[in-house]
Amino acid sequence: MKLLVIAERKKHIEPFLPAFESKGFEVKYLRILKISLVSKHRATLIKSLGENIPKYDAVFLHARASLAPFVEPLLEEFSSRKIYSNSMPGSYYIGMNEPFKFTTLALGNVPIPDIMIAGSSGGIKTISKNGKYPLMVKALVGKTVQQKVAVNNAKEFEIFLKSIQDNVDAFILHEYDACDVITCAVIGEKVFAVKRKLLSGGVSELKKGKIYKLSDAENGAAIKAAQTCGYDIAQIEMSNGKILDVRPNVNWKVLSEICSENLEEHVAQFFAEKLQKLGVEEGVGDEIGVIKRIFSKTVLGKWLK
Amino acid sequence: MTAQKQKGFSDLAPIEEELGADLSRIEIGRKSGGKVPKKFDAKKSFLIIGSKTYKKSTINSMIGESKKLFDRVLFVPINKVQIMVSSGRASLCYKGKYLMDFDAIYPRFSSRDYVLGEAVLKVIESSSAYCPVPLRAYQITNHKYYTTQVLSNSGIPGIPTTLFISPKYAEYLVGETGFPMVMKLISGFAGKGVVLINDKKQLESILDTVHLFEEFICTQKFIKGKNFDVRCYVIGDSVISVKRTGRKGEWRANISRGGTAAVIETSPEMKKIALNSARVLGMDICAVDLMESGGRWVVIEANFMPGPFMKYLGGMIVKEWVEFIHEKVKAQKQFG
Repeated sequence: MKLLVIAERKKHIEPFLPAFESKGFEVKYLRILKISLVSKHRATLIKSLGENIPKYDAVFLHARASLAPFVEPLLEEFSSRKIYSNSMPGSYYIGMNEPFKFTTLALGNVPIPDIMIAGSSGGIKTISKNGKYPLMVKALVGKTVQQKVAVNNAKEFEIFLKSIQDNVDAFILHEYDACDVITCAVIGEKVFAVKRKLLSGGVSELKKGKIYKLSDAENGAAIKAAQTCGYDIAQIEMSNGKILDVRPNVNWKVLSEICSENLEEHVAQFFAEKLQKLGVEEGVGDEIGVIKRIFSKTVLGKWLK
Repeated sequence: MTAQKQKGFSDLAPIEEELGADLSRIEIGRKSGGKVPKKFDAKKSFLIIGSKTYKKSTINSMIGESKKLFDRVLFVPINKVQIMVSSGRASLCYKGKYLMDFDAIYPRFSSRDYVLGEAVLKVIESSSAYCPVPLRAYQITNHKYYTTQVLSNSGIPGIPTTLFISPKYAEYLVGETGFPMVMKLISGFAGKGVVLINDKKQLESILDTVHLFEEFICTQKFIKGKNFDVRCYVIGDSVISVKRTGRKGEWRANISRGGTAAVIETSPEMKKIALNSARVLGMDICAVDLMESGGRWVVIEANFMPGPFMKYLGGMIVKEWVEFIHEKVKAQKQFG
């Protein structure tokens, strides 16, 4: 089975290459910077340094959600060519936009805090007197969180409102529990978690976290959050059983160290099982796919289905 | 008519008066559980959610036409909408009232609205309201390359277009489009600015200024046209074609750049391309811009929120939009 590993930098995914090879994959690494997409003559080509990228059975993608404007057309192309990837089309747009992410999670019945999203400060002002504190308030300019502050009472909320600039695109206001945060890596149905302690200045750094055993409910919420956003592999943050963040790029190095697990091995195993489920067999899937595509628009198309 | 006027909303000011500001009753916080806001009586009702930079003349015309057909019409700019989100539920509110019981919702968002736009469209899709444009189309049509890719892959003729991240590797793609080419930087969600590049020297000098990693470069073969293009307004199965002629010396035929517009007859080829593009993108209402290249029509852009060229066409396009949406609502009510 042929696997393409795409990442922003090789050092982010280096340990994955031998892990995939040990599962029988023929692996090739490609830096995302070197990829280009070309659409012409009613078709799309994926190229690297001017050369067409050959057919792969699967793609392991490790990139930040902020690369969505490039990644989304790429995922669309993988999907239309029936190449499996750990992120589905649409997932990077969800990852890039926080209001969209929370709305998607809510409609997917994922446990999240109660949230209000508004496009103007007037829209959140009325919460000031009647909201139940503490609250977390975020001000977004484009996709970037420009300000993020926990407010404990109406006075602090007023101070926040006075400090905001005119160019804010959206405000996110959500219930906030000052407590420990759980960061986990979801790999298919497996979840590996780390607990980060709440300190006076906020939550501790991930590298100072301790291995944590999730409850069944927390485990289920993490998997559901990743799947709802369109990721088979994701990094999740949660607090009090409620999801606070979902992102496609996992901090593999730190999580592997704290969990004392070879997460690369788990990812490779997940890919091998996934492709087996999808019916991709070594050297067979590709040729049949090509034959089907060639004859799909002929009288033989129906028969080949 | 007077009675209807009292019930309905003619513009933003009366809307605010009638609804009153009672958002304070919606509480965010773990102790509250959240009180349920009042619901609209949304019988045969139409909600227009506009861009935060909406054009008053277009919206006034839409409200006027809508009031002739709907019992209740409401316009809210997107930045005034509140999205209330909790596990298993997401609703749109405006001044403490639900916006989820309307029969039809027409979101008219531009790329500038994307931070809230995607979330609002996601909520609309979860409602039972008829909406002529889907979320996916909003994402695709605000991305020049993505539009070309999706349409090209469906066999719709377009212009050779490339997308890449690093200016360092631009040289490998010059051959795909050749010179002259049009370059657009894609940042965040949509594009910003279009530049015409005539040769390698110009390309190099422009690429020197592109250093940011999170800016993406889209290049497209420049089609030397006849100083005009055709905007095909798709409204369900109908197409109204408008010829846009650019100002003398201007390579873009945009009306906003001093061009003019006039309705022309739609050829079968134009109609086929426009309808197929709209179907691939899942839009009942949109505009597909076409240009002549090598004796055939090619798609240059698909518009999620097309302007109705009020200056040249009056309220003709707006009337068609509203009548189409009303017909959809009527059919939905008749046949469930």
